[in-house]
Amino acid sequence: MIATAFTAFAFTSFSNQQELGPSRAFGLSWWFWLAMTGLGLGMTVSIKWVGLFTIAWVGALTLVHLWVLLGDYKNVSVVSFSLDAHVVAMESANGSQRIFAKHFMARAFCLIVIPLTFYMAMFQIHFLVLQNPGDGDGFMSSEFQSTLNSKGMQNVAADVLFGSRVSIRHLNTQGGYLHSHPLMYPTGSKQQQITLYPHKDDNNLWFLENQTQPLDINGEPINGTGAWNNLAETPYIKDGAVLRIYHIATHRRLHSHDVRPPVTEADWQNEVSAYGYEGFDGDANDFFRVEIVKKKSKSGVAQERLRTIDTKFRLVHVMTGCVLFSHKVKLPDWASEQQEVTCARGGTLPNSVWYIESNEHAQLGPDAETVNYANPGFFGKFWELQKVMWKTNAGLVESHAWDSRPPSWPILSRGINFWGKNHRQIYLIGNPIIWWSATASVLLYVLFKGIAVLRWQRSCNDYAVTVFKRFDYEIGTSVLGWALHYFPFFLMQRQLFLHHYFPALYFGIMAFCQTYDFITTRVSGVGLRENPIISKVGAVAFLALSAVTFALFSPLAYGNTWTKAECNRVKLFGTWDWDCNTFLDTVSGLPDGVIPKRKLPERA
Amino acid sequence: MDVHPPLAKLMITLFGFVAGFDGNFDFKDIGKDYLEPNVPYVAMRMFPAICGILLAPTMFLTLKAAGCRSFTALMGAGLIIFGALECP
Repeated sequence: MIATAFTAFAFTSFSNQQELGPSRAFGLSWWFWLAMTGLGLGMTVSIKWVGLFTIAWVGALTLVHLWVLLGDYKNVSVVSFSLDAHVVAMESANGSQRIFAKHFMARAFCLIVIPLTFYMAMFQIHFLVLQNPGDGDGFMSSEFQSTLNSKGMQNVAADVLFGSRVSIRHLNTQGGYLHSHPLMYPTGSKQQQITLYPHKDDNNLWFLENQTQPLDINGEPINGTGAWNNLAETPYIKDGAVLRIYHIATHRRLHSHDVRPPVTEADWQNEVSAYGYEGFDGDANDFFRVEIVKKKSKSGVAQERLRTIDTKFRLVHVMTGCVLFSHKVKLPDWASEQQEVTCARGGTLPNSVWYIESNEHAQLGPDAETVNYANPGFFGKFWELQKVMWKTNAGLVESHAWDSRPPSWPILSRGINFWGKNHRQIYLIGNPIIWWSATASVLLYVLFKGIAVLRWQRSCNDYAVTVFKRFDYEIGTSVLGWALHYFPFFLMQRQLFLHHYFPALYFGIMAFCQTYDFITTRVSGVGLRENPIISKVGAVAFLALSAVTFALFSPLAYGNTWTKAECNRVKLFGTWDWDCNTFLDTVSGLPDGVIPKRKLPERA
Repeated sequence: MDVHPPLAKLMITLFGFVAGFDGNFDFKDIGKDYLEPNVPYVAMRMFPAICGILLAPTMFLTLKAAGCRSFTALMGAGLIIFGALECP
């Protein structure tokens, strides 16, 4: 709030400098206030994205400034109005073009470069301060997470071979690693569960086998898990290779069949399980074909054969053609609420892409080529965080007990309950007198503007009157600020609260005061300009009225003691839904009994 | 998950640090007892309180800059004081 207010102040000051005329342009205070506006915008937008509306406000008014400058042909304009192509006129046009360009560049620098730099600097500090992992890590990519302390990873062997012990990660959901544990599905085939598990664990380790065992020099198959360790030719896993994926801890293989999965009972989804026992050769339903997703893989060898981290791939179940799939659906208690893994048919599904994170093989010694997550760098992290913030913000759609929609804000039809205990309550509600006055002055201006436009169309020449013109411009500025901080909320689907109206209210109060100022001290004919005492008495009376209203409602703000009668007296509307029955008939006899605590809103 | 850019939280953290807050109170629920674990809540609330207080003089200066008489500007500042009952 203070940042928005500061911006409004700095920008108003800058506008004043601007209006003092061309002689003051580019002076010290001109630059100072322009830079302060930029700084204010940077601060505002670094606190909440509502600052973008403040930017829109400043931006819109800056365009008005520039438009006026463009038409100021005496001093600045790029348009030369002299009809004859006189050399002097040409020269002056060139000179004024330069001045206009200077005006434009100064604003672009202060109002775009400064806020953007400030915004990014704040994120840089944020990254520097918060180096450790926390609750929110799961929202970020593995590359992002690997830059946090203790989440970083040792380098891993780059080439994935037959016989590698690997962990396989799901790319899209940050749900974690392909996982199995000695628990059975209670549904479907009743075979062993396959899930996604977010933490490192031995149950995430899989052994990659070829479709068939390798043959020794006598043509006999070599058996056992070490079968691929001493082959003459390095057994790379090329695009299109068929694998059996063996769960090391439980000796079962990844398996799929035409059985509906436990939670998502869709026709196009098959169950995935772990099936077999130690020494079992497996069956055809254990075969999965590697399909490298070239677009998502690093260019070079990672697009031709399986490489750790760099290669992104699908696992196609050979018998049924479905692909190994996972989505943000949690299994019930019997799988510790881990994420569901299925085999999905049809289309190229973004949730079917996997990659290998850890990789060990006897043939890959310590001097083998290694890889690690690429450090995304500041810009990579910055941009990713912006996207996650946007998605999360847009995802806050579930309704809340105390949310409200924008149309109810200007009329103050409902507040927010914060806390209640021991016959006391804290409830957010505005001062109705001030609130409605702000709304009324906005409406008044809209009415005025409507009539003014009509009269302008009929060439009534009202704009020749300075007071009229100034009223239109000055109140219009504030009302524009109000509108830009209010109407965009109509487009938002997320849960909204009354406090989202505060920035707009600030501009509304400005509009109210300016209207009052014009009526009482600048407009002639009303009779108030000649009697300043009346306007002063009026202002004091209005302030006193506001103060009394505030005092009447203040127990709700401070959680003070209150009586039921006092509460009911100021509860003018049924939609003001704090509960007067919370309070006792008299203030003595406290405190006993506790009212049930309600779910509280996220203070945003 | 925090959906806001970091400046506000950084400022709150800075004030908490200056006030000697040890980070052992999680602020998970409104109404949770903060006296028992010795949370320096007065110093920590001081930052938002100062921001809220500054709003009033800022309104005054802005209205002055917008060309209003001092008296009107004073009224504007007064309306901020008695305005929204709770200003974050």
